[in-house]
Amino acid sequence: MEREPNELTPVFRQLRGMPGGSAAARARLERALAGTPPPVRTRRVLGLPPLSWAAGLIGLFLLGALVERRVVQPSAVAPPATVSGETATRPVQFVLVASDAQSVSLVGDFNDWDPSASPLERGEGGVWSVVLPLRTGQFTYSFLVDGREWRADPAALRAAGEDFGRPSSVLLVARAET
Amino acid sequence: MRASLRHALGLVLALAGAFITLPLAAQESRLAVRLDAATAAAVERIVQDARERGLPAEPLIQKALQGASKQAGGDRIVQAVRALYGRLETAKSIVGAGTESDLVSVAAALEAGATRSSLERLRAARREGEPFAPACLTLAFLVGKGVEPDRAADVLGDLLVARARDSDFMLLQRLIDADVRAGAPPLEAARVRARGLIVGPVRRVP
Amino acid sequence: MAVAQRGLRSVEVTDGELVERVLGGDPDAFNALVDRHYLPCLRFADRLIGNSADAEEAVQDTFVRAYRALGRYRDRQRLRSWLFRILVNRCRTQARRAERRFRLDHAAGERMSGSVMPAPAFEGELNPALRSALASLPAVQREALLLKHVEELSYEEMAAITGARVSALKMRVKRALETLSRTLGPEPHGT
Repeated sequence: MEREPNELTPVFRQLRGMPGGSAAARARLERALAGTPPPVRTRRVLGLPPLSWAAGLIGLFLLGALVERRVVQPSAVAPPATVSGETATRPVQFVLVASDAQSVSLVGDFNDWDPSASPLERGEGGVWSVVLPLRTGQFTYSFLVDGREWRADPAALRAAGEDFGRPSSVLLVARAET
Repeated sequence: MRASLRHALGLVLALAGAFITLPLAAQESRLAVRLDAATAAAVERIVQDARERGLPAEPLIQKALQGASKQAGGDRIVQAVRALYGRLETAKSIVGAGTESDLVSVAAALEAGATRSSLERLRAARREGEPFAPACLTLAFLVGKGVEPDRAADVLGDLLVARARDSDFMLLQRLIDADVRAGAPPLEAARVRARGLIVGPVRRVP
Repeated sequence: MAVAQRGLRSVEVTDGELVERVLGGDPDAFNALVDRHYLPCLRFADRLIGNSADAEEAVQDTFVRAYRALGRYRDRQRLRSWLFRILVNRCRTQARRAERRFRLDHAAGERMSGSVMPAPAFEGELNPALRSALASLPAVQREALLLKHVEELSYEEMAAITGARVSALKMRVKRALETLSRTLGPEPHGT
């Protein structure tokens, strides 16, 4: 980044110092604002009143509905446009040992935290498992047992910080190594 | 302009607008469907801000969806999204033009308590084009275990310089975890195990 | 054990969110914006115009206009840049008023340079030598210098704010730095 010449550093230090500002001036500003009508969002677009736009939009939505089925992704799939890097997926297995559970589902960043998207299959002795195709990247996830109890993955790193009071884990799907 | 002509013009312009806005509307519809209107709107504003600043939007959206799924209150969800936004901004100032994965993992390390200086050390040690995430998450892991961030970064920096692979970092975490459970001080465990990985050969867990 | 920082940024409302709240009818939200931007605007106006009274007036005008025009703010631009565009224009207007006033006051034959001679500054603000060094710069150079090295904006933002081309702005900053170096030199006055 461009910096000012060294000999002028003390000069710029002074220039950058914040003034105190007078209380009287601030009070004058407040009075002036109080006397000003509050701003509104601008509504006229390209000189057309909203009604014409509404008429146009209705016609448009009918057309859009036809296009939508082909253009728009279903919500369960994470939009690829916002994810950089590889789009190839790798199968990743998730396991929870829970012999008392009636149902276990996997809920996380990779399925929009939808509890119904990835149920685990019960194995012998309560070893529940599922395999999901995942892209490279970092994912936060949790297991939901019997639709009400959230459990972190004992085999993975715990997610730090805000987890909304229900424990989560973090998984890094690393690059395929050569 | 005659009314019929105005309406026709409106239709044409709206058609054009729709092809641009429909995919965008679909992205944010995930929030509208899962959150109450006020919370969804607040989160969308933060997401918009993030897009403008060149920060990844998806982690913010996922944070909100996580809160929705865990039935957290709207205020708490907005707070969490905002806090993540702040960490992503900080991450960007540390990493600069990094990948989304870099930013997300630096943000996660910050959340776990890593300091700016420790992350800058790591960034300085990594090679061009090598992913940052495994080292950052391992830093988060060590800091979470009580290791002082700069010391942890020194150990991990050495691994990065030695071109440790992603799997090396994952293995390192498992080994340190086992050692700490057995009573080892975390920093010492980290140093020993890292040395082992650098010097090699270490018997890999199949 | 050293204290680990939990991320450097406290949980803060963004400018964009505050704007939305104002437009949604929350009067306090604009006060929050003023709180955030008032002193930086005042600093710029003071350094540019050269006296506190005119600077305060320019800043007041700026915020009132910004309030009125807030519905037209599109968050494609940083709020700060949008605000500074208004501020720069207000400062130019204010400076012209101040200059006319000054010329009228000094109508009795004194030959003036094109720039405004400063009235007494804030107490304890910039020292007089720095004030007059700034005042000796052509206004557009002073403007560019402050935007670049005090506000630390990019040349692209400065172009959007002033309406000048990037190449012209770079030249202005360069010339301003040269003049200041000559005037204030390796032994700056008053520090």
